[in-house]
Amino acid sequence: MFRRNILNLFIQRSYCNIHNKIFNWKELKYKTKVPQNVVKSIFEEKTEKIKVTEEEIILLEKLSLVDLERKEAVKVLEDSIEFASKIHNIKTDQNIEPLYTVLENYQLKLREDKVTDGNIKQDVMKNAVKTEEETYFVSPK
Amino acid sequence: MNRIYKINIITILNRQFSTKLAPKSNTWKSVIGLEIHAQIASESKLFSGSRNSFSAEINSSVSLLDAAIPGCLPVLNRRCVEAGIKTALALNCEINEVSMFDRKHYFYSDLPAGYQITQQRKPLARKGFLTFPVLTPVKQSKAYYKTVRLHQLQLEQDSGKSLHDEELKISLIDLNRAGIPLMELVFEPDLSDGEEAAALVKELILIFERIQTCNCRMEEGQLRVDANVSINKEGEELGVRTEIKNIGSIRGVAQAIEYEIQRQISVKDQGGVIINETRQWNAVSKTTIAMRDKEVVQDYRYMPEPNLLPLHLNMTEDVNLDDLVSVKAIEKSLPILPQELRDELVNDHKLTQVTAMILVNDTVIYNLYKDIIKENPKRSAKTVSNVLINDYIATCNKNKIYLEDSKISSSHLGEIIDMLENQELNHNLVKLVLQKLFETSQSPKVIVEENQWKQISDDAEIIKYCNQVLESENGKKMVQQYKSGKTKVLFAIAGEINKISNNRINMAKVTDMLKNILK
Repeated sequence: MFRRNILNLFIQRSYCNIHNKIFNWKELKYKTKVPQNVVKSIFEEKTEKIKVTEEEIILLEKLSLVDLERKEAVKVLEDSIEFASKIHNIKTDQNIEPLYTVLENYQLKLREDKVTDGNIKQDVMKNAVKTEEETYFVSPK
Repeated sequence: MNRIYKINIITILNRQFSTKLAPKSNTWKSVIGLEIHAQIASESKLFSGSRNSFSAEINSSVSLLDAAIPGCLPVLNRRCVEAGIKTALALNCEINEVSMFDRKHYFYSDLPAGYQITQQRKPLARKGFLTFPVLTPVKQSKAYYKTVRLHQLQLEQDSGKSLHDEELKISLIDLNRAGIPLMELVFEPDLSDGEEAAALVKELILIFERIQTCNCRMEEGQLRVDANVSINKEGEELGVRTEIKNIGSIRGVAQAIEYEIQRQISVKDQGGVIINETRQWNAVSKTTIAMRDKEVVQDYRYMPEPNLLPLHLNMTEDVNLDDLVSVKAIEKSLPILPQELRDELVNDHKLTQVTAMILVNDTVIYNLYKDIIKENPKRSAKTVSNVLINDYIATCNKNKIYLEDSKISSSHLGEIIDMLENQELNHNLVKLVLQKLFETSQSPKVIVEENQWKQISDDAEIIKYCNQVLESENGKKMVQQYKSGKTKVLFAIAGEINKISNNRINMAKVTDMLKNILK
């Protein structure tokens, strides 16, 4: 219940700026917050093309274990980087601390230091593709 | 993260450098920074309720969260937060009222989630420092104090363990260690050689022993040291550094760093270049070997951990609420730290700095010292420390008995101290009494009695011994020398008298008496 109130507050805060009035669920015309029409990006469009080098591809493949052998895959990757790069055009105030979570004023839940779990080897290893005498997981080569 | 098991040693053995290195060049300066991973002494893991255990059956201390089964969420262990704060306070840190968790991504088979939860942007504590004694085994008289700054202290998860089966060419994974709580202590590069680094680790272990946040069994990997080593010439910029990973003993820290410094010097003196790489210390061959896992700069793709809210602490009040740990309460419960013990020994017990360092450096010895003095506060601190450091440790070493395994009680040692102070026993017989004590475990008084080691301090008897020497051929010669002005001969005469009394005679009385006789 409490969380819901906070969520309300948050929504009020962001909508207040737009409508300049207190937000009211009943007044909502559409029962969704997803815009119903195409919204033009408020970001500056960047047209600079991104090129990924051969070495970078090898490194990325190694890091992510994603196969980038096909040309189309590399194109998707380059387009993705280009799309995400728009974020660099946003002007941010260095003096404002970034918001990582809307619940930042809430305390993290802590747990008493007690053993309440474990000894479920069978469950834990159930999904293993390969094991060594059902004792160890065996990693792929 | 522990990568010690990941290296296929055989394939990189041919990269090993020769142990014969060029002699040390005086113009090079070495700079060392340590990163230390300490497993927190807790019952359960950092984010799950499975047991924090070293010796459990393989893959048994694993919860679904530790195995990264989708749908599980981490819940932070309160004890680990308290342990982190306690350690940070002992290391004079600034504690962050709000700290945050981040994901650090690795692709390793013993890290099932593909990331480690750690604290990168806003760790639990920052900006600490530690002052510690540097007491090298060779030159004990040249002991000094050194201060090192602590950059930050963060909470993080340990990874699982990989074992390589060379025969079957497979990697076996045990997740018992996955999720065990760690404190990572990142020190600034303020150290200048291996001995200082070893002394820092030693002091940390002493602190951990007192505040009990880490059990420090290095052989079980509870305390793991990474060392960043570089060399440069006076006035120059810092050199390129190499990182030695996972050194597993205090002596290993000193040896690995000394080896690496010498290796870098010999590379540079031969016109070579040091490359930024990770190296592994091989305790058997006493060399560092290049590891192959860091050929390119790793991108850890840090991101805020979305499953954990920021961790808040109560900085002002001494009340412990459910989800809010009080820093003040922990501050109050902080025990006396090693440096305070040393100060007490120097200021109140009037011992020298070096004696205080040696006593506090070994908890067993310090506790014996404390017990002996407590039993009878009139005992001289100097005599007690002298017997413990010079006679007791030496006798233990001679019998190859670890100090912690010795069964000699503080009251028996106290008896020896009392006999010394009451002039019933000569100091040079203490080692013999201790040896008998190891063998028979009789009381020292009985040992002295039975072996007739009691000090001779009866005047008439002393005169008998004096005369015996003075009347011998050699004695007469020495008397002549003494009378012709060589006053130092007096000690030689006294030495002779001591010898024929089997080290039992009261030497102070002998010298006084000799001076009188020969006047």
